[in-house]
Amino acid sequence: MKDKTDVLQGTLALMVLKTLDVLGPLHGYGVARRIEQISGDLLAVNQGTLYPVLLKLEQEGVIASEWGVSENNRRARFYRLTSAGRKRLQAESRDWQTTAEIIARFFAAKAEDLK
Amino acid sequence: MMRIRQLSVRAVNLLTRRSLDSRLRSEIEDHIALQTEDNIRAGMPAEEARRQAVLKFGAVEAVKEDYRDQQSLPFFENLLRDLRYAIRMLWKAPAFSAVAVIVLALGIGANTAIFSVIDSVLLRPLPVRDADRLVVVPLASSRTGDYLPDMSYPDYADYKAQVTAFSDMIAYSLDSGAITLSDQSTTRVEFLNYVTGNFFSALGVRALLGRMIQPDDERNGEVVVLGYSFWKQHLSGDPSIIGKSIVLNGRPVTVIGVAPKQFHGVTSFVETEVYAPLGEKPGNVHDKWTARNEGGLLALAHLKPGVSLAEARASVRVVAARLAAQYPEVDKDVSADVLPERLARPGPGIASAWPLIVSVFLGLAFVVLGVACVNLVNLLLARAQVRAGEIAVRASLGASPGRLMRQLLTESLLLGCMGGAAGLLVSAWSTSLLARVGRPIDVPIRLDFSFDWRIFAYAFAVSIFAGTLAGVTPAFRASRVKLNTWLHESGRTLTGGRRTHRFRNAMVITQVGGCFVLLIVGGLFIRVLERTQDMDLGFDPHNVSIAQMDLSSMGLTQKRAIEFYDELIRNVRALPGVESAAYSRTRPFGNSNMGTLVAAEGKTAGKDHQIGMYDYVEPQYFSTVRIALLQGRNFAESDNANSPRVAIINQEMARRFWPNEDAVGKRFRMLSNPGGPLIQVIGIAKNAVTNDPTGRRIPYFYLPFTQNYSSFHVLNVRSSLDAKNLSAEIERNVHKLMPGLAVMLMTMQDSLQSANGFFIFHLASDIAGAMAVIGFIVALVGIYGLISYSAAGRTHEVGVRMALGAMRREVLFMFLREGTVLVGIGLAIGALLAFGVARLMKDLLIGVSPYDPLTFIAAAVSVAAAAIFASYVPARHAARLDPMVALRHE
Repeated sequence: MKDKTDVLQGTLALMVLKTLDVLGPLHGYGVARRIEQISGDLLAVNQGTLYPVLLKLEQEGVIASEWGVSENNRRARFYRLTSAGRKRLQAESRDWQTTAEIIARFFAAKAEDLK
Repeated sequence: MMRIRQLSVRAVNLLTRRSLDSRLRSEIEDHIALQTEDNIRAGMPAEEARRQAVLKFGAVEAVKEDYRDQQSLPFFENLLRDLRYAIRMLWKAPAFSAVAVIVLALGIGANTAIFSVIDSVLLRPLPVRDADRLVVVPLASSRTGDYLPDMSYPDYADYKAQVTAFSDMIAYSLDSGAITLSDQSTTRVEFLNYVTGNFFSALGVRALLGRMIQPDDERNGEVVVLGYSFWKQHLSGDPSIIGKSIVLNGRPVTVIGVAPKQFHGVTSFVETEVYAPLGEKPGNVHDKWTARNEGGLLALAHLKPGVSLAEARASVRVVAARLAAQYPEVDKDVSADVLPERLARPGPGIASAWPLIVSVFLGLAFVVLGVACVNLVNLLLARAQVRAGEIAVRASLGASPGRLMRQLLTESLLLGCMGGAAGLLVSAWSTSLLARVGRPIDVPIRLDFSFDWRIFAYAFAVSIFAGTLAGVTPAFRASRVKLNTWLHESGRTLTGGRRTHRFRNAMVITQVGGCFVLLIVGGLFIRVLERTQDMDLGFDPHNVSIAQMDLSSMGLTQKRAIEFYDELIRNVRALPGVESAAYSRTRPFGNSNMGTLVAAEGKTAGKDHQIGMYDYVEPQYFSTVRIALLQGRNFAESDNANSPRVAIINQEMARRFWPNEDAVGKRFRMLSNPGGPLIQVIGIAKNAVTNDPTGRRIPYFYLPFTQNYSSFHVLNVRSSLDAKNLSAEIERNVHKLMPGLAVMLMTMQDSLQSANGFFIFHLASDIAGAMAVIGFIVALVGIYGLISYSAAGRTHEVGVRMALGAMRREVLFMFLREGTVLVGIGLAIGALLAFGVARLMKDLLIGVSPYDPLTFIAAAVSVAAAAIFASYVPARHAARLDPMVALRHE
């Protein structure tokens, strides 16, 4: 049974992958800003929780990182999606879609349909 | 579940930690910097921008921890960190750490040393095939149950053939032989075994070089096998010795093999140097194999698989009864027994006391370890209280109780391991010390304290156990400290809580009590040793030197041998400084003492046969060795080969054979000489302790050399000269008349302390004494440490008292009183325990009462004095404090 942190980590991971997919290679702060923008309050505080997730994804081999230069000429670590990451993203998206459809059907069903 | 890739990445990360750490640090910094810039751009002032950025990031430490948890195997990470922290903590408190390690080292070291000794002497099985089924088969008197010293070859052959419970049976004799190596002119007397042909094959001992003695060699093989240590020591391990000829007892023999390194013979704690077949044993060639009244052999056997000891014993007794019926003159009244080999070291007589001995000494060792552990618990408790503040702060910073406990436990385990390592050193040093102390010079005693992995594992386990045991309570208590409480009470309740006090007091009492018990046991053994030294031996061993020689190795006629001995003693008597000199056949606690069953004239019933030990002596023997002749007369010239056979008996023999009668004039027969003449008693001598070191009275009689011949002589010389010079002189005289004759030289005192004699008491008292001293030191250190910490924790209280008008002396007495009361209770409890233990040990305490008042009083006084001193020093220190400083102390 997944507990809250696991669910959060799982969704966070997915969001990171999608962000990198859409925006291309990005540093940690950039990823955090983007997720904050889109998800609203989910990452409003404790942006730091992103970094363990980034490390985990890197260990799993779905993203890769290297040093680079950021827009204001600072050195920063940039993350990018790997091909394995792309495959993972596709698989997970499909899973989410399926899950969402099933749940939707359940909520749409009226009492009579379940007799 | 972590996938393999993740696992390996993490493992690698363990090693590349530092780079990842710095990477995270810079990433965090960059993130916060970028956020700060954005905030500035949004209009915040610089400082506020930074602060908001940091807040937004969240708890850095938590992130770092999560990151690290991701990064590597958290278990090892934490272990490493705890370890580093523990090391730092211990380094910061050097006095405490040193004391704790020393205490543990002594406790573990002592424990391991004792274990080594007990193991090597009593517990370790012989390195032979099926050692657990090996038994000794001693003969015994069916009347008294006393064991006979040896058996004859025909008896051995019969038992071997008839006892079905044995899968094999071997025999050997303990002897010394004169060995001359081919390229050397000196003849050495070496400890050797004459063995039956199946000796090595039954024991499964295979040759290191060459071959072992085989059944064909038993009667006529002119061969020897060298022991590994002899080969290494005297031949430098030269493999070409195989096939070469050396001289044994004056006869040439071929060296056919070398025994393997781990085989030292079948006599525990003695190194057997050389093995020769029975045929090489000096003696009458015919009688050796056929005379049932000859002796000299010890027998070992393997029990058949599935046969119990009781069955074997019954089987052996049946055969004994059969032999007694077949050969009544010799074997009547002789029974036999079967004992496991391990319980019969060095001889069957010890079997009943064996469990007690092992328990007592292992118990001693455990008490020492217990005292050491208690000590450690105390020290850790006290220290935990001193660190209560630090721990509370750490708890408030987010460390879980589990983590705190783990860290504290790591500290105590680290202490335990360090103590164990130091303890191993201590035990190695002490066992080598023991091995060198008081070695008797007649047999090569081998106390094998070579490093054994089992001992190391045992020491390690003990130290882990000690560390855990010692760490659990303090760690548990310490981890439950609440910061709030601590800050408000400034540690007073925590350092001086009543429950803690009681626990600590209990520990002190335990230590004092344990220490007292150790001292008592050690003291009692020392008293036993003292007693043996002061024992009324019945003769005066001081200023007497001994020279032991055996002419059988020189191949002389009896006439020539007698001439040599006569001339030698004439020369020795003429030496300046020599008061008197006389020959005997045996020496006290020697290796070739003689005994036989004796029957008084007219009393031929089996139940009247008793064992009598005997000796051949000259008339001047009694005055040289100062044995008093109480009744009758001494041997005279008139007692010769043509006159009736005579003997002088001791008081015990007179008492047992002719109670309520005058023994002088009575006659008896030696059953080892069936059909031999009746021997008449002409005198009664005082009991002398020459065979049983416990001082037990044994029937003993002396026969004159003029009527009995032996090529083996012991020359006893009483002189005021320095012993070394005297021995050198004697040897010179011997070699002047008979160059190349092997002579064993020692003082009579040496003979008394030899392996069959008081050596064992020396060993026991050395070990027990050492245990006592160690326990004493450990307990004292503990008491000192405890009172110190207690006083330190009560500094504030002392300050208050003094500010309220208490004099320094009152403060001093306050602590002293506390210490004294604890010591008093400890002594009382210890005394009760000691009484109990002493009573259990009664059988081992020869000649000393288990409630020996001198020992108890001396021990009590020592413990009390030392413990009070140990309380006094820190108490004085506390009393000397400046009240202003003390008051301000938290």
